[in-house]
Amino acid sequence: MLEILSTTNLSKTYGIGETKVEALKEVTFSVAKGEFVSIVGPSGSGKSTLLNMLGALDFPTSGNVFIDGRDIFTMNEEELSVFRRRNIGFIFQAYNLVPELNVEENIILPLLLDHKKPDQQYIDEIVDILGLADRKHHLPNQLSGGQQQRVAIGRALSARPAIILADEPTGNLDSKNSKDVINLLKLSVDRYNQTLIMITHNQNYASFADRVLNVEDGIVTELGGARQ
Amino acid sequence: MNIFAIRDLNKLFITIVILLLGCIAAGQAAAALIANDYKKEMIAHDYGVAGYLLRNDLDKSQITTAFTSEKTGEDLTAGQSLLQAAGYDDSLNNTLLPSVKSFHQKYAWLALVFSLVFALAIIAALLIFFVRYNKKLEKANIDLLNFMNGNLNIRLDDNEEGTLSQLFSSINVMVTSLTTHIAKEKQNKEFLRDTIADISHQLKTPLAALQMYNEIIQDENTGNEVVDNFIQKSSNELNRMGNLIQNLLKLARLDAGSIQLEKRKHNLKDFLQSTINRFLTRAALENKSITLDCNHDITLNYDEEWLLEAVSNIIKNALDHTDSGDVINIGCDDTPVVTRITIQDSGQGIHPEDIHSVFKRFYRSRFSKDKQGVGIGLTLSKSIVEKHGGSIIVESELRKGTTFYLAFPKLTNL
Repeated sequence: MLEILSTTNLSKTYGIGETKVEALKEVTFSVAKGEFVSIVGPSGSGKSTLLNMLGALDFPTSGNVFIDGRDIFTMNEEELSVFRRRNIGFIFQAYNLVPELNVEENIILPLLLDHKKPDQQYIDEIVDILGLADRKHHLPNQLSGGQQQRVAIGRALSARPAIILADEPTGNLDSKNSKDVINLLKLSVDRYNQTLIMITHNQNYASFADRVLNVEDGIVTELGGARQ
Repeated sequence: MNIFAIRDLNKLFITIVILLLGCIAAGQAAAALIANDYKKEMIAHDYGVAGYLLRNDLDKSQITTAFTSEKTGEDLTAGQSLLQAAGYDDSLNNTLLPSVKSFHQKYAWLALVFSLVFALAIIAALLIFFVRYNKKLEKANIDLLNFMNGNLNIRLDDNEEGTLSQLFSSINVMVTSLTTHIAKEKQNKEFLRDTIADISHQLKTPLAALQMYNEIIQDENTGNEVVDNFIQKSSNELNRMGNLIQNLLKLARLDAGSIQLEKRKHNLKDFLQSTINRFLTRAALENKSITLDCNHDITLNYDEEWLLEAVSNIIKNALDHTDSGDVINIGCDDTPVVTRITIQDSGQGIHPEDIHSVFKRFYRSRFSKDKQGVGIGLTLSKSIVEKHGGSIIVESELRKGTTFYLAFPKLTNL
């Protein structure tokens, strides 16, 4: 299958000498288009470091990340910000919505930043699927945590990125809302043939994925997935 | 749409605005320069007039006052009428006044140089912009052509602001989804092919067992006519099924591209003769004749095993669709461009409705339901001939006969 994302010998070290910490060691894996990959592992194992690197939010000590065939660490800061905006959707634990913008504006924010005209039909569909139709004009602080995270999912989908990265999207939610968010993520990923890489603590949610990657002490291994 | 959102043009606009601002500033500076120059010229002229008057014994204080005092309209009219009488007025040719002439020349040059410099600067700015823009488009075009030529990893450079880059970004999304579809399509085809191969392979064993059981029953000689009759029928069907499975396997292998043709140069006549020999028994049994008309020195580069399969299938097809007493003519000829094998029969012919479908998999004409065969032999023949780089053509007339032409271009022998 087509590799939408691949890493080769990705390493990250913090500090030098005595205080040297190897957060990631020679990570090499690839993700096919349309796959749902979840990343599990104990706290401090390097999960978030890995995800930040995949999203070009952080730079590796050595190694490469290719997204849709392009080596992202050869780009300069300006190119990267444009690349991220168009090709990567982020979903964070803390939602990170813009408090001054309403639900719909938050969702189309990546498009507005790119001075693009939103495809209203597609946006309406996303809003509908995420169950936000009657909350379209609310501000984030008028929404529950689950709803805010759904807005964040909509924001990640709106620009039709090559890949969506989610860092513990259910970390701040109760179990019912968590289930909703995960189901919606899975549904929208399938529906729009999106590729999703998600960090999670919850083993049950990991089982939703096509593949599960385990990170332990900076080493990434694959846990018996259905396909390689 | 906000015009400033077209980021590609922003730089160009800014450059042009800077140039125009420069032009305005330079124009103001030129105006100051001209004023200064005019002042100098005027004073020099006044000095001249004053000196002339002084040397012609006019009163010093009177001359000074004449230049420093404010003049009234009456002074102007009086002076005008006096000097106009001497022909000194606006209509005077500039060239007759040396100072005006040099003044004009100097600033005409300045203005010319000035406007040329700004015009060139603006043209250069536009040129640079369009050359760059064009370069991006050309590069994108080359990238897209490369993609079409099979380099699926190519993506356009879309990491800049601006509409052009947005367009490239959308093209990239399209290209990625296209690549995914291609990959999926390929996967599906492989899956189908493997499935056919697997099923055919799995069917072979039970079929062989059935054939054996059938033979055992046949050997029992029950003496019951009905049983014997059905055993014969069942044996025919089993054979037919065996052929079908074998052909399916062959077709799957051919489609998979896992077959490497072992092409060698052989004499065509010998090959065709040996092929015909395999059918002589059946032809004699059905009271049909097979003739060969082939020049002895024609050679062809082919894989013997597979071409035998292809030609046999067509001959078998001809036997299936001819009646007692019909003739099957096999011929070959050679032109500078192609080597051609012709298989002609004087049988029932193919119905015009069917002629476009005879090479389709499992196609069975509704006009020949009574005939044996499963509709895969000709498909296989076509695949084999095409794999040899050749083509297969069929011509037919109902109740007059059918002719198959297998043409192999000579270029492929190189």
